[in-house]
Amino acid sequence: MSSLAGKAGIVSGAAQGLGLGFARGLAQEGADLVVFDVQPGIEAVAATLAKETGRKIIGLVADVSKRADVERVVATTLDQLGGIDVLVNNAGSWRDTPVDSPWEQALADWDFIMDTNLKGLLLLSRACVPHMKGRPNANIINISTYYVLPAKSAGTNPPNTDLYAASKWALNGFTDAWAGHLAEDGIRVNGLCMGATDAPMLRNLFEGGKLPPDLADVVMQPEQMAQLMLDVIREGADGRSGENIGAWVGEPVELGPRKVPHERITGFNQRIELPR
Amino acid sequence: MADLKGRNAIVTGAAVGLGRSYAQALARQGVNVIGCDIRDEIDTLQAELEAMGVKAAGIKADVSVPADVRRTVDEAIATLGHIDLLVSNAGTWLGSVADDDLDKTLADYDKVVATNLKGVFLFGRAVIPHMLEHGRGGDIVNISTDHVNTCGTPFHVCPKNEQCPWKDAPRPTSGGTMMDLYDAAKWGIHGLTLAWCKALAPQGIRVNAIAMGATDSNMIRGFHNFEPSDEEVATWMRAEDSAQVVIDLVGEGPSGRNGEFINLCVGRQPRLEPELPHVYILKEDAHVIARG
Repeated sequence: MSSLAGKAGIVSGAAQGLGLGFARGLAQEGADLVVFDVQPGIEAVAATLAKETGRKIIGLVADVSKRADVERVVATTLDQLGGIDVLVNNAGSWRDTPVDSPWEQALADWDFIMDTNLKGLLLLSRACVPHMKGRPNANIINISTYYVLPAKSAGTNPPNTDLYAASKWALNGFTDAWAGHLAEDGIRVNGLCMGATDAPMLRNLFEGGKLPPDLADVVMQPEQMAQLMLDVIREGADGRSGENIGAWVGEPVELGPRKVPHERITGFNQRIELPR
Repeated sequence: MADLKGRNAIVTGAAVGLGRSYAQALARQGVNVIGCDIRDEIDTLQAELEAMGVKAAGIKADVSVPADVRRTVDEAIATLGHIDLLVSNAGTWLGSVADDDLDKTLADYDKVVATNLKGVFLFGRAVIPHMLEHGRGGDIVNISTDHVNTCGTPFHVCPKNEQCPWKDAPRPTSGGTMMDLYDAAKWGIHGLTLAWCKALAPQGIRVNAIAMGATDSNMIRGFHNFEPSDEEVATWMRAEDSAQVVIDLVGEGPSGRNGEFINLCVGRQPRLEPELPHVYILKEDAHVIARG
């Protein structure tokens, strides 16, 4: 179990839940890491993880939405680990954002969600990309959600999550454009779109942080998501890029076959028959 | 089709191009229109639309500035009494790629995401409480792009791919690699559209998005340095056709489609196609949904 020996990675939002799961998965595979979080506990988490896996794990208190923090994370990684092979864009914020909120609340909600989920992810990725170019099998993993669902699905994303949903939908634009632009630099970019996973973000939705029994029975585990991410990385330099990989409660959590590259509409006047 | 005469609308980015066409088309249907834009041409909107026999105003405002949005919506309500329709059309464009430096990236984010996504968010959130309070239902139409996939769904995420009516059709994907922020902002609009349509359907407010393919407009002419070839222009859709789609969409009335990403692709007749079948509808129960 050392397919990532000698590799260096960054995981954002790694103090708990999914981020910690991703960090642990990477470390268990032999990667050295810089992990960061706004939570002060990240340093202790890093120390525990280092002890657990025998890898070099550096924990930093840093806010992904702040440029100076992002630059410090990247500089530390380059200084301590000598490069960046894997970036896991996991840090995210969540809050209920009802559509009829007072105006000032709506403005505050925009900053709270978007600064982390969209701007922060963008900043961190832009800061890392130059240092990932040319590394063998470099990977960016964007953590999204199964809220990114078809137009006509009902009862899926709760209606009070317009900003969270928008922030995650927006990642599609990044995943797709970056995969194309960075292909020749050897950087693969994929998204993980997961359903209910046992993590504080989910537990905090319920009183006392306790999952209802029926949900507790079926909820997915961070370790499963970490394995899914590792499977993407293990595909190697020729592996998939530009995909959103879904994981649904009640479905096998596994990396499906690579998508068939779909045709782009390149020629003007190309006629597309609407399916009936 | 429902008679739109006497309805009240806000159209953002109404000075030129698509937005101007939407404003004109609505006015032709007898809809009173408050338009806003950062461009000076917005100053001529009022006279043009009033000559068509409706109430109108053109407001200089930047959709990315909360105070401007608030002022526009407040003025619209003060002028017209209430708002039935919001067309969030204002948008901007610039090239941005994965290896841009941080200075450019932050500046781009503040321009593209602020206008194309935050602007839609702000206008929606300013108008929605008013629509709810007024209790007359309404329509929100968000203008997006065909850079998002045909059905508005990222390939491979949908657990029901086999049932996808588009599965054998070529899907336009993103704008390639040179517009990551533009594409991200437009994808984000779909998140807003879906969340809003679900939250507001019980109150009779419909929220749809139109994913526009290449259309003869100020934006696309700018993309071609304002010197597009005649051949190029001939392939573009016309803004009037897109405006007719908006009219037809709103004309469906309260029982019309909701939460649809209407795709207007170059090469296809730009018209409002019948409502897409609800192939993706999954059960209300979250656990059943997750099992697909």
